Amino acid sequence: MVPNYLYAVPMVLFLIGFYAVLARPSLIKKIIGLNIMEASIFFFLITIGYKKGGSPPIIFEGGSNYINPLPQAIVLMAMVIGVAITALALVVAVKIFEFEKREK
Amino acid sequence: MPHLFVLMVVAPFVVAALIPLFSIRFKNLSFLMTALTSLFSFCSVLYLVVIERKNFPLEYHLGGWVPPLGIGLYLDKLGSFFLLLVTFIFLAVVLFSRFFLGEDVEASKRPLYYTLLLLLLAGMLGFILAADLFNMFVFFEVFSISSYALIAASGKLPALRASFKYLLMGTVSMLFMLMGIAMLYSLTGVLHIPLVAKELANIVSSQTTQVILALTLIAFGIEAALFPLHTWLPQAHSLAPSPVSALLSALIIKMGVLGLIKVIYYIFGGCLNELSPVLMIMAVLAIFFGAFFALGENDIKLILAHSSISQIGYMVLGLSLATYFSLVGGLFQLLSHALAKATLFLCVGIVISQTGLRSLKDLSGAGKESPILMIFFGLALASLASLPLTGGFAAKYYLCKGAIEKGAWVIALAILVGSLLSLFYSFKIFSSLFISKPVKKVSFKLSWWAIIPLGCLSVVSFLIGIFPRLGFVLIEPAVGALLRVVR
Amino acid sequence: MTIPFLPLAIVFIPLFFGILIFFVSHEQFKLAFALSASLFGLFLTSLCFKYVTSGYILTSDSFILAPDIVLLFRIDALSLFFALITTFLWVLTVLFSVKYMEGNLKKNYWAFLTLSTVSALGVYLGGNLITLFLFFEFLTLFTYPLVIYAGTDEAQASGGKYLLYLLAGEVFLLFAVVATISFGGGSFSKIGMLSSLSDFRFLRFLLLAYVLGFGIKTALFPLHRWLIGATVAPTPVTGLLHAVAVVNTGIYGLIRVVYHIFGLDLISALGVSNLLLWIASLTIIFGSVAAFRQDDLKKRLAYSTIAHISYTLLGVSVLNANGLVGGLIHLASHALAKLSLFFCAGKIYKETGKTKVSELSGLGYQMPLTLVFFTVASLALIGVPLTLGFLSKWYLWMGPLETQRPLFILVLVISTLLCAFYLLPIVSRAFFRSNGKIKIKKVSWFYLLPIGVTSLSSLFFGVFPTIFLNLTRQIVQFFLGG
Repeated sequence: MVPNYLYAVPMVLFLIGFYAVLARPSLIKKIIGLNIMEASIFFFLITIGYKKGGSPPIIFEGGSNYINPLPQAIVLMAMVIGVAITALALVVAVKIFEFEKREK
Repeated sequence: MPHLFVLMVVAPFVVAALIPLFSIRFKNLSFLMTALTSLFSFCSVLYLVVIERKNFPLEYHLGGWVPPLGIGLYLDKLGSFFLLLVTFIFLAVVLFSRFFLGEDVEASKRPLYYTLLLLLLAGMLGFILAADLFNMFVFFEVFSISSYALIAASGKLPALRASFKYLLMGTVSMLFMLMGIAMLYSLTGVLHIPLVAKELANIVSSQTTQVILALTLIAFGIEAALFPLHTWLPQAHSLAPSPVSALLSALIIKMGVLGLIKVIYYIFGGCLNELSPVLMIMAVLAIFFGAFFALGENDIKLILAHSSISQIGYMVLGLSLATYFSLVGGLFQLLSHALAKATLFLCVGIVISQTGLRSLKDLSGAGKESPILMIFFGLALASLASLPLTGGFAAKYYLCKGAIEKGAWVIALAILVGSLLSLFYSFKIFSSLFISKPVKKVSFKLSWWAIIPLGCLSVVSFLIGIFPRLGFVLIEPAVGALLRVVR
Repeated sequence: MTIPFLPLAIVFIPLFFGILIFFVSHEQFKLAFALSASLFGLFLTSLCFKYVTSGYILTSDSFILAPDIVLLFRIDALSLFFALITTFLWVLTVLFSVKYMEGNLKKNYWAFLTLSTVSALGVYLGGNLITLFLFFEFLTLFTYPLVIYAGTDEAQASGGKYLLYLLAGEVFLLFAVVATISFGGGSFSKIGMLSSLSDFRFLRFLLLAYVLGFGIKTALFPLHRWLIGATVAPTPVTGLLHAVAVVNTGIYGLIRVVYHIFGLDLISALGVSNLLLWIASLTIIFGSVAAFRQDDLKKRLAYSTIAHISYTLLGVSVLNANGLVGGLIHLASHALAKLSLFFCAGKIYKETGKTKVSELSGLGYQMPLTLVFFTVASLALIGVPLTLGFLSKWYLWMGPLETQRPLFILVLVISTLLCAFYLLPIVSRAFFRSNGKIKIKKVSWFYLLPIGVTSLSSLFFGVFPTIFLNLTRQIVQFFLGG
């Protein structure tokens, strides 16, 4: 298990990202905020899967005290989704910019 | 056919991937493929519901790995109710899309439109069937992302803005959910929903569980557009192409409600008593604010969108009261609202695309020349307004009964007053389209591709209204399943 | 009891005709269907008379649409009393409409006229609360197209007000209905459905909800504005609202609430009798005074309805046999007389274009027969001996007397005087004051048939009131057991 204070880092990151989404007028910064939130959750997931002195979850000779592989799998999957969302958001944002430019 | 389960979810995914490939050579194949796929899922749901009914709840373990190690799909009677609703309405909307895509979606983009529709279907089916939290999340994202893209399908600036707003709120909701899931996992060590619930029952309620509950409720609350988390809804629903609005309003927000059900009943079954006052207040506020917004609007699609906010309130109210009759009422409301709203958005789509007008003032008397449209509108609006012998009436009746049995008279009165308000805005639409003096005469052209799906939706909605027992056949077992969870 | 088919037939055969009207396009067929619907209604209703007066209650099978939502029809003496009045006047309204609506007939007039009246029959015959409620709401919805019939802005505005008031009332009614069904079952097979409840606060609240629900339809004092607004409708429709269907269903509901749903014992225990009496008296005085001050003939008659319907409420809420009998008979006499008066007003409007009382000077010389019928109906409404109105007032006076509440007799006296003051000047102006000739467009004798029948029947039944007395005896026996 990891010390409790490590959990604080992802939470702070989460809130920073959330703040960016809420308070920043720029669409790009909002998207960056989303990504920060996302990253904080990945951090959190990795943290809860970690064991002090554990070995990677691959069976090898003499290996014991494996760390939990499931959070890592979750992170991989969530990253994919995150990329998809970021891509879509960027596309929409770019389109909006184009429209606004044309209006000017 | 135990593998039908997986096939049902996988088939739309595969076809969705194939459509862009095929559409390079065969331009018109995309509709056919989509229609066949949705027909297939509707038929397989029918098969599951009718034939396998006795074996419920069904469980399927992918690759034979039993949870907590493997992932599973799970279908109980609540799920089968949702599956039937989703596949039926989806099929109708797909058929309608053949008739109607108007200027909203260019011909070259149609294959992509169908791809996204199928992804929407796949996501919803997966979300209903998923037995573990993380898969629930993944499928949730699948249909959310495709709905963001679908809203922007017209490529116009307001639609893009609406889509971006929905995307932001939806993604925040998704991240809240993911955070909640991660915390739940760290607390219980499992992801399989029944196992999570079992573990949670042993854990004393702490700040952690409260935070998790708050995170997940907010997440699904945003998706269900529960007041005051509804701000994305009016723009998104009113600016999307009409068939997409129909899907969003009839099905996607219902997925949020299903998520709420899963959180409240399946995961945190024990917290219901502390939770219900909060939800009740939010629901009542939703009922009134949604209705007031709708009354104040003049844009026909915005009225319908705001009315969704109000109608969602009833469903959540039914969930939060948690008596037999209130749950029946809530699910009945879900059923009748889905049918009515799908019909309404499709009809409004016809009106808007053929007149180019959206405001009720300009549309006054426009529908006078087409009795078929009037019947479709009339039936759906009657159900929305909960006039007697419609699905909406049965829903309000049971909700009210549930509230009274619980001793919450004020809630019961609020339900009824809210239904009066919904009657007013429904009436506003009906009277300006069909009663007021015409500004200019319009004769709407309807092909069979429009009449058949609309007719099916209307007939089902009508039958459920006249014989609420038909709805009961679906709803009652689901309610039984929910109540067992609470006890 | 003996013939379960009858209650169904009374509702569904006219309903069938009503729906059929939508699907035929020829004007003559529409009329034929509307007329046959009303005749069937009258015929089938009178068939029940024999059974009901010998003490049977005719009950149909129940259609279970869903748990709690059950359609059930049932005829007891009270239902039959109201149904008879309605079907009798329905036939006359249809006859009157034939001529009145000539040349102004829009597509669905006959259909909605038929469906409205059928809904009223459904309210009377409803064997449980939910059936009653469903038809009660249908009644509102089906009369709406008739109210906005003229299509003018004023008609639309009145229509909106009409819907707003009545549907708001129905919200409270639905609340009460659901609560009653939850606690006492919805079926009318038992008197005192709520007697198992002992929470008096809740019961009073429930009674309030019922009074609001049904009271708005009877146009109780502060909630009466829709009825005045609805006078923009064509005259036969106004007649339908005032005498045939709509307000009658409200008072029917109130009687059921007081004597059947709560039951005599519970109502006495709640101690609300005086409150109801005060509401009724207030409405009576208000309606009479307002009618007195009104120059528009139809509106004057409308205010008079507000007053007279509350006579029935007054009779009902003194909670004794005489009061109930008086109230019921007054309802019948009011329906006959008021329909006759409205028909006269309609005829006058159609033939001279006059709508104001002050414009009617000397009309008696040009339309003597119409004005004679008008006079007879006015006298019946005032309660002059030999008319049905006298009989009803007699019983109505006896009611408060027996319970030592002389104040309410004073209310009756004052309002009778006011009634004379607002009706008789019309007659005297028409007969005794003349300022030149009023131009009459064209005279139609066809109008005189329904007018004559309605106004003379209040004389006829005044002399031979056995039909009504037989029924009221049954009703009193059923509710008061004596």
